Amino acid sequence: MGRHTPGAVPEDEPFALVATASHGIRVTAVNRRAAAEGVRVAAALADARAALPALLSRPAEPHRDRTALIRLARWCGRYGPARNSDGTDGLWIDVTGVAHLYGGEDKLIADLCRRLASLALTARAGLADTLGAAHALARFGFLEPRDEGAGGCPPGQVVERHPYSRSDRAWIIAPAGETRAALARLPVEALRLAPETVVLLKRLGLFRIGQLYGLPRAALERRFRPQAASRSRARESADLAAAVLGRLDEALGVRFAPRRPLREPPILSVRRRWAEPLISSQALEAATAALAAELCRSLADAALGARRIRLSLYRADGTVAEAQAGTSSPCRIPAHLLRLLKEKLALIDAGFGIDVAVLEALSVERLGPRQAALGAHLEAADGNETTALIDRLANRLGPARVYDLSPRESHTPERAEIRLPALWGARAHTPQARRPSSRRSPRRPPFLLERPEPIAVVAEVPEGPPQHFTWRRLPHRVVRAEGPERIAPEWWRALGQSRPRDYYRLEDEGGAGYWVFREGLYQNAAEDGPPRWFLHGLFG
Amino acid sequence: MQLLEQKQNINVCKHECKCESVPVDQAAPSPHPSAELKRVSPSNAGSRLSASCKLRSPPSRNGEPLLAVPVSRAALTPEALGRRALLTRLRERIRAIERHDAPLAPLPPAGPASDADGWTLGAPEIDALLGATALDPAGVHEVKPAAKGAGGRAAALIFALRLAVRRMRQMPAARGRRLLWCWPSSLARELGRLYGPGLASLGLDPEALLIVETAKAADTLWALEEGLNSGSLALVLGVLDEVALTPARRLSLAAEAHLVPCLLLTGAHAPATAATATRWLLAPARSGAHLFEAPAPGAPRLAVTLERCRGRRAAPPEASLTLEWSDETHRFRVAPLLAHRADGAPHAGCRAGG
Repeated sequence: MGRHTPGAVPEDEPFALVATASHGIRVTAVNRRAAAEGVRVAAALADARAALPALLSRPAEPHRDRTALIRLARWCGRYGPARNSDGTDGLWIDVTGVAHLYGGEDKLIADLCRRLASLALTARAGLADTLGAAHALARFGFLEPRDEGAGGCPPGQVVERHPYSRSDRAWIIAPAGETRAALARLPVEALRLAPETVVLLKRLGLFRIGQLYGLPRAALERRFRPQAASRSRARESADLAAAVLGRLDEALGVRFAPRRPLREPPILSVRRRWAEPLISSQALEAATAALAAELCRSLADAALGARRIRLSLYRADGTVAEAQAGTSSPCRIPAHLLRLLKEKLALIDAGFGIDVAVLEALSVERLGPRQAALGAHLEAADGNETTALIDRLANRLGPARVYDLSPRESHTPERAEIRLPALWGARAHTPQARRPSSRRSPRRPPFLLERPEPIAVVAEVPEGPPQHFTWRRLPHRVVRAEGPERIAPEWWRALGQSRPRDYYRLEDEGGAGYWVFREGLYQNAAEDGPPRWFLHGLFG
Repeated sequence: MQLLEQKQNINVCKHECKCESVPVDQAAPSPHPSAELKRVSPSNAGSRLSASCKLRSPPSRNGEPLLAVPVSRAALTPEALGRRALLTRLRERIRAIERHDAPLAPLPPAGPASDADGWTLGAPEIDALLGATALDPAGVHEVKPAAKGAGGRAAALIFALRLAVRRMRQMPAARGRRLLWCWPSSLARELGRLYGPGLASLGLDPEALLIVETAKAADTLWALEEGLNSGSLALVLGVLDEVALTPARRLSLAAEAHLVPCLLLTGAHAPATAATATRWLLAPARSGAHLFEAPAPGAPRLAVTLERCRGRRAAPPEASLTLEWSDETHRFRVAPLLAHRADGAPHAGCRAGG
């Protein structure tokens, strides 16, 4: 609630966030004091004010909440590479294989809760074998006895504390393999079901997840059936039963639950953690060097080379700085990777200090082992140096700004060539289109304007070469001309150029050479409109 | 053998160099000081054969013969000459080397074998201005248009591209290496992007080109310096409006350290760039006559002025030459003056013919 400006919300006064709904202004969130005073979420603000005139309210800002949640999800990458937001009020983190770095799951989740608390966030965490179970534990494992009714247990029955929870902890951990037991006491709402399904289940007397375990599957479907009068309703009930069982299977890990992480998970990842946040750039550089060396060792063990790497620096204040770098050929030379990252490090603001740094290889390619000592002089002297140069240029200036020219099969001059980013390394891999031999092909200018520029032309005869033309407001008198070379439109392409072009090579009285064309024919002027002249290239 | 019959005049070179004969009694004009192992056609009367030995030396400057250049050591033995004569010749040689103020003597036309000499333009008249070392392969060379305008700028850029063609084709060390072309994207928009088929018709392999388009001129300088420092490129070309003193010096030092040449293509109104080995001033010129088609542009021509050449006196203003580029042989040659005759009215001719 106090996500944007901690401290702006008074802790000791009743406070609520409100939003305009279809039936007036409704409460969307309350603070602890207001909850204690009996203000409930989804109540009308007028009713809440009547009961509690001292209630403060502010309009809710769901989009800013969302942004803050995503930012928090990025920061959670320090606990595991795969993470994302979960609904509008939660986060999930995949900590598979990470817990040992923190000395166990207990310590990892304690660290997470402590850090979130230091960011003035009230968090509850659940850790289980599956995402569904963790979701259920975090949201429904902490119901207090007085939450009776809200917890969805049968009326009159007192909710007891969750067996795995402790009063001094804001988290619940279901030990590996005990998911069934951990979920048994939770209400059926915890299965992430649609509200009407929950109502139906409760009407059938199924209040807790544990009650679903023993039910034969066919029996569950039958139980829904009395509700179904017609055939379409029957199908509906079958769908409901399938949804309930599907969610249950997902929570128990019987069925795989797909999930989409915020960022693509890396292929290899190395990390460093420091007790004291790093601030100085030298320390950061040294840390990056150590990470690069470690990553390259892992790459060498797997006979891989990195094509794309990402350095994530987790700041102490809950934000992340990232730097990405790409290479034009698979690489596992620490010095080279470090050099690429170093230029980006200069742009990173350490803020209040950086306490976790993660270096990840996002995409890799096979790179066989090499003998550095022997291979050094056998390799072409320029090969590695040039790719290293391409990497440096492309990483600093941007991949699209460093390019190779590659021919393409087309008669249209501007289509006959494409610019391929040199970082892709496509020049070495893809088979090139055949470049026509320069001797036989007609002359082309070495400089081609990005798009043809219209010129005003005076020609002696309509179909002949120009005598004068005005380009960029400067008049040019043509003394020599060669042409026309007619290039017909490529009819097999639906879009683009649709009129034939007559190209001329012109020389003005100063000796400068130009490549101009007339688009359209005079004989077709009635249908296609009058021909137009363009300047397309410079011969110098 | 004819050579042996002329024993009084000629000593046969006894060294392993392939000099067949050396003139002794009378100094022949220095044939081609930097040419290696090349026989030049008989200079006069057929009685004397001049040949050069593999000896590098500055060319004769005042039209006076430089004796020592074509004469091998064997010819200077006391047995062959009197002691006094030898001393005189050596003194003359030293004097000739020390004399830098003398006007330049034209060199005989160079054959294709002279391509191995260095990064030359292929036209002996302008290569003579550069001296024996030709274009410094470890220096910064500035190419600028004589006048403003896209046509003039394009002419300067294309001259630089042709120099690049010369380098790629002449220097064995440059083969298989790549060229780096850096420019700000504003200039690329103004003049058009490099176009592979057009480069191919100039004689440059478009695949060898690595192009960098930067957002700012400062980035272009950085990219140029990185390119020079990588040491793996054949040539680095940078198009900029102007280059300040410090970056120019940095580029020059980087080029020198890594033996990679750099061509800076500056704007017409830019002040002269510092620390350059040569500076060329370029203007487009009317093309030569087309062989088969009168109104068509013929072989492309450029008016070239060598404004500065390190280690040489500034070339006289008349050193501006109209050079013609040949797409077949990939070399420059001095345009024949007669060709200007037809410049006046190609269209008129067309009209008359039609």
